[in-house]
Amino acid sequence: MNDERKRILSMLGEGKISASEAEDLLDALGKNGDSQQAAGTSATPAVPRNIKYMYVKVLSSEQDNVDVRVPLGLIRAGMRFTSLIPPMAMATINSSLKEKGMNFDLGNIKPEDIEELIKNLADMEVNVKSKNGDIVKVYCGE
Amino acid sequence: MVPSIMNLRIEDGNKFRLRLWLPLFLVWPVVLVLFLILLPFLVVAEVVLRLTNVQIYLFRLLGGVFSLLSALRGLTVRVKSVRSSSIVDVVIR
Repeated sequence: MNDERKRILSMLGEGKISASEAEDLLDALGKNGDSQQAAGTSATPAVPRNIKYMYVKVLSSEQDNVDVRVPLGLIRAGMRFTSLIPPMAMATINSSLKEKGMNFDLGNIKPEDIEELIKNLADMEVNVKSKNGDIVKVYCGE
Repeated sequence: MVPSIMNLRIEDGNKFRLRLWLPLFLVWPVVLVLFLILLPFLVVAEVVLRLTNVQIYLFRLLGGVFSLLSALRGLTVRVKSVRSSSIVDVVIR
């Protein structure tokens, strides 16, 4: 049993987190372990899943927990807003982006690009573990 | 589909407790009625914007806002601090 798993179970035992929170965190750990195992044993590309949400979980060493579930539809809707930016404002935004070193044209974002971005988010996983035991996990799921 | 219920829970130890169950499904008909009342003014504003060649599309903007609100369904934010016994819980369904 790894340290993270032990820590989650001990926090559950101490009543610091609820059973459902522990389950969510263990699921996230399990998912991470599975994907690491898959990456190590097989070169077959993963089948795209029907992902619906982005999860952000923070488990601090001081027992402050943050659990956020963001519907991916919100990202879609937000990205669609770029098409509503008037061309004059778009030029200003693009030139500001260029000044900051991002040669990127917001006007070129097409709905299919957004879909592809969201589809590829399924493979995204961020796992951060700090020295003092804070854990941050960002992943997408159903 | 637009969100129909919002649960809000804020607790700060024993000092402050707030639990709200907000029936958003009661708000949407009011918003619809307001929209219908304002519709003629919006049409006039849209025509004026088109004639003055200002590239702001009011109806597309409203559609975008509506889709953004619809996409909020399923949003969950849970913040819990064991040290200060505080909880912030927002669930939109």
